[in-house]
Amino acid sequence: MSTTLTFMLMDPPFEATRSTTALRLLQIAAERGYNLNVLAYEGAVYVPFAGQTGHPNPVHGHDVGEEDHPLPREWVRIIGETAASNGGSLDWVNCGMCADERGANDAVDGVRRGGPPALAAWMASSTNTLIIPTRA
Amino acid sequence: MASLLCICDQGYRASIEEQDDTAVWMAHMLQRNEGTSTALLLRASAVNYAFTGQKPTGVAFGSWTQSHPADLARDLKRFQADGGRVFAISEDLAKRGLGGADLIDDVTTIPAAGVAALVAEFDMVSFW
Repeated sequence: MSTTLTFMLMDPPFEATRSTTALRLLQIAAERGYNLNVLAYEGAVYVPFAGQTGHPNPVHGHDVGEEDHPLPREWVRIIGETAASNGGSLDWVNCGMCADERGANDAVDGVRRGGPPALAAWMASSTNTLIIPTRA
Repeated sequence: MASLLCICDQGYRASIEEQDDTAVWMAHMLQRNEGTSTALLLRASAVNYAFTGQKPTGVAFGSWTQSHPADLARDLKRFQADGGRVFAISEDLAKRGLGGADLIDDVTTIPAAGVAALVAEFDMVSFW
């Protein structure tokens, strides 16, 4: 029987660790061939934002190439490819209203718009669900 | 010259993506700004930044591996090399089993009760 995991992420990238840690868990699950569902809620819609670009770092003394800035949108792409290559899947839904209010609708391929109904359906059908909300 | 104390109390907030700590980075940039003398006060989990035993390994996603994992002890030393001063709360270090020999050089430890007096030494204070 296949394993299906649902994640709800809420933190934006580049500011906290929670969404990054969730992506690391997703990568491990993808390597195991699990079917993965992700609802990106509020600031997490920026995790797969296609407009992310690297930058130089004057404190490190690196130009943009040397800095090789990690970009979460690339991690999302890799997780999807890893899941597919291991017999699993990644279904990533960006909360549509959250993306609209932020102007963050330009996401990497494979990300679709949705909202709470997707989460409700996934929670009812998944092996387990992990909610990772923003904390003050 | 204006003096600025940056208080940092949350360690490793976005250090994976940013490959550094954003508060330490900003303090360093401000220190480089002509006319600003900047100091960092590390408290709570951020005191671990001064620990020499950190071993940055970076993350990997599939075949992608991180080129420059955050090295906070190195970054603090570079901040010091540019004239920045580093303070740490002794009780927060003790809670984590850290003492003088565990830390990078030239970190001034102060008790929590000494923060008010330290703050009074600076023209400006920012809490991160």
